[in-house]
Amino acid sequence: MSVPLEHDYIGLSSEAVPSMEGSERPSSGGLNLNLKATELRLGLPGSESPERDNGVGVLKSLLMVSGAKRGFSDAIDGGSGKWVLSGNGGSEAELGKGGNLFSPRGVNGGGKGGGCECNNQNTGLGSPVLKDGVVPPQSPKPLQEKKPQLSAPAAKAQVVGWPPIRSFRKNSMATHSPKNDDDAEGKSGSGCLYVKVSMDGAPYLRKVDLKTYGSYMELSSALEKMFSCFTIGQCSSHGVPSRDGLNESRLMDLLSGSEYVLTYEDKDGDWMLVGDVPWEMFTDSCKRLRIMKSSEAIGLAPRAMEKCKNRN
Amino acid sequence: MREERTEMSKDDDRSPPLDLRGADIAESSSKTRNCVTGSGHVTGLNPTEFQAPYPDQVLENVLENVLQFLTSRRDRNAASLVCKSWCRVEALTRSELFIGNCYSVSPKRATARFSRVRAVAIKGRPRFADFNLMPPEWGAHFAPWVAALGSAYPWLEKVYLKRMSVTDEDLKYLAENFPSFKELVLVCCDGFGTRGLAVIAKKCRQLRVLDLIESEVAESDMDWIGEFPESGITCLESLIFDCVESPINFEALERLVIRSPSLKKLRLNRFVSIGQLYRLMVRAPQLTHLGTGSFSLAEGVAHGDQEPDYESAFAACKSLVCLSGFREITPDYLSAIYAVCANLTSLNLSYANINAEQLKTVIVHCHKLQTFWVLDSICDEGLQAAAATCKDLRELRVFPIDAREDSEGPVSEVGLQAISEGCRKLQSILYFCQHMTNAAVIAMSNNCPDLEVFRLCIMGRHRPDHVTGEPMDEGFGAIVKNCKKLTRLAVSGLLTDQAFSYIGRYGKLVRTLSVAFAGNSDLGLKYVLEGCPRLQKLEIRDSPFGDAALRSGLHHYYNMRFLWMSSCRLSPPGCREIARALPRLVVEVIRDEVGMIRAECEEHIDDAFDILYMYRSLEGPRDDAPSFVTILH
Repeated sequence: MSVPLEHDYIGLSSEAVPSMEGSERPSSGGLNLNLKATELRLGLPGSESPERDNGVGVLKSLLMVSGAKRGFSDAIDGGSGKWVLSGNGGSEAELGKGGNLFSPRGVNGGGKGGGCECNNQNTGLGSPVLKDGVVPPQSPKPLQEKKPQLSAPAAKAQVVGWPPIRSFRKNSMATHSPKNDDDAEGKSGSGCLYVKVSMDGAPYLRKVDLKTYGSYMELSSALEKMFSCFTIGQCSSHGVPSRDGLNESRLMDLLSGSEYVLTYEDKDGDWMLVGDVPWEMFTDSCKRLRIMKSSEAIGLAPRAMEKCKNRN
Repeated sequence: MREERTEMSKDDDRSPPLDLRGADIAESSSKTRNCVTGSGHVTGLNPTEFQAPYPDQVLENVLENVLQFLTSRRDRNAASLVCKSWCRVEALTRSELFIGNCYSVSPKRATARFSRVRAVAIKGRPRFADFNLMPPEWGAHFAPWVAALGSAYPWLEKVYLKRMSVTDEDLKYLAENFPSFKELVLVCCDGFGTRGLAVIAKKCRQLRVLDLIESEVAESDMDWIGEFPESGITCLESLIFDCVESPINFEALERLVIRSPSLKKLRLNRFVSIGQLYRLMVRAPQLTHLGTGSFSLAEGVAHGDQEPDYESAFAACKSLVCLSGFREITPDYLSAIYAVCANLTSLNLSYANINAEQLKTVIVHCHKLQTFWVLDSICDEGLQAAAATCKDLRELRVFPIDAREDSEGPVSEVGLQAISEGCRKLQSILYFCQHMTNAAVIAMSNNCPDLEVFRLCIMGRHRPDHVTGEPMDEGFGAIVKNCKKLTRLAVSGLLTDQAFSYIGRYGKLVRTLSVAFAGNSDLGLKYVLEGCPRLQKLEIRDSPFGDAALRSGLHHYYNMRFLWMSSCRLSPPGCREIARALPRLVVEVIRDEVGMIRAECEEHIDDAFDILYMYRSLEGPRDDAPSFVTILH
């Protein structure tokens, strides 16, 4: 069933966004309105409802609470129901015991092979702060995520200025590589869409260029990488020199019970859960991102649900 | 101000940088002389201009004749410290002026001290600015310099600028005010466009060198090549414009090349096709340095049977020693260069996406190669092939074709190991990879004792040795320990404070150190600041070093060209403390709107910053700082 048009609690302004309805209103202004995509539905959205998978990301579990609204994870996976945290997989998403979005596997990236030292049985030296040998807890249910091949625009973009390659070279490679990717990919400075990303409890904000991502999956894995170092950084212990043995306790203090969701502020100033709208629409309306504690985000979804019900 | 300067030079347990101290002596010496004579000669003249006759005039004349042969600026700096007269004479005979940091000294002061300069080199922005870590309008403007140069050195012949902002107006000024102007080299500069180049081309009748290297040239429709004089022989020796990202008037270029018999270096941009390259090469077989442009057919041109004989064109260039370009290479054409490979000392394939097999066909001929820049598309196998042939290799740079943290890593420790075993004379290496092992790095430290520059970039942040899982401490430790000539080091991968302990203990000659995502605590930075007496340039990002560590370098900052720290654990009070302790240090804190921003809930929101950039200066805070820069005091 379609949702009445006033129900754009996502906050997309009417000129930017089509009505939520499928068919009732004519498209305005000749915009290419992706009505179907923004159609809100209760219950099964046309693809399977995301499964409740306890081993998997927290965002999903939050959304499970709120009902069957098509959620971020669904948008990410096209409804396959599998939450992908480390988009550059191969490795299982290391979610930690808390199913935390920002796994304690450290900042060395979820890359395959060598990057996945934290997967190994031996000491997880995923970040300098973990040098005392924290082994990131393995996910109880490794996701069978197919590893994106080199040809797919692999997601992990990137901390600003890293690796240290001048933009001239990056642009040259991007434009003239035989893969001939979308040539907007490499161009820095043209069509950047920088938005601030803050994370509750982290000392720094970051800015990311939304244009460097093509999907929610890419964005989420990039953010996870970017901010996991802060999560770990919280528990950096200056005086712990030894690398042997596990020292999980401090890490777990931080993470236990704390879960995060990704939200964004749209053009109207409303805070929304990321993932409700098609990617392009999201990048058009997103002004800033916030990784907030799920305890704070709870308020978002039920309100939405209520509004939804009211319209019915 | 004057008192401060003399105080500084008295502070001799930490001798001030040679350049600055020289200035002190020059200033104070002339003042002293006036006081001594005191016979009323001071008639309102500027003391520094006053030249009383003095007994060692003959000696000074002799000295002048001798010192003019001194070319090394470090030798000159040392000579200028011997005594006042040596300082004076050295200043008179210095013809090449090098300013390592454009804000360390004012144009006025520099031109006042050195009156007979013919060549100027000025460096501006810090290197990390190249990686978008700093807002673009930070500074390093050439304009005030060009004005001072204009009045002080009308006979100026050469200008070399690196990381400076140069405008079209500046270029115009250069072209119009220096009739003897011969050489312009712009490296990593920006702010100008083809309009400025056009004026240079048109008005600099004596132009020998116009080199644009990795600079950003604003596009416009201006046909600058066409502005070179249309008739007569030119004295052009070097024309490098491979970084210009706009098409050029090829016919004009061809005519120019025909009229430039002295042309030795020609580096074309990617808008020159291989067919056009051919036409130029047959006109200029005397070339020693060639940048081939796109090295593929022009758009719309099909692979036909009417193609020129590229092989013979290359074969005709018997003096070719340096080959670069290949910006959009069609690998089939690579065979054209075989004939020149045996003579090549420098080969830059770093824009050429070729595989190991394709490389092998070329590299197998390159026995004399000393400089080799390449893309990691050649994989470890390609590096092995290079190692097998290029026994004389001095400099290797391996760039990533996919510069992302988690891309495929076609090169690894295998390639590094092979290079270390094959190229024992290696002096400089820049190596991007995804995975590395301590063993390979240690092997290189043992096999290549001549290493002066070791820059390893493991692109995944905090990545340990992928075989042992250990941090990369031991590898870098071995480098500083075994490579006794090491002056430049860039570290990466998972590194603990131990790595820095090694650097501090063994890196006694290290002048430049680049650190990113490394270390555990303040100790790391302390080790370096306390242990490396020659440290001049230190750039650090995203490492957990804080105010205490910063404090530990107070004894050394006047000896450094600069310190850059971004996204570390510094606080405004900590930086302010440095600024207060060292009055001659300019302590800039920069807010970076593009990268990192302090969380808005932080207490110090008003003075929150992202980058600390500090440098010694004789001038105090600069007056052209933009709003996002705060200079602490």
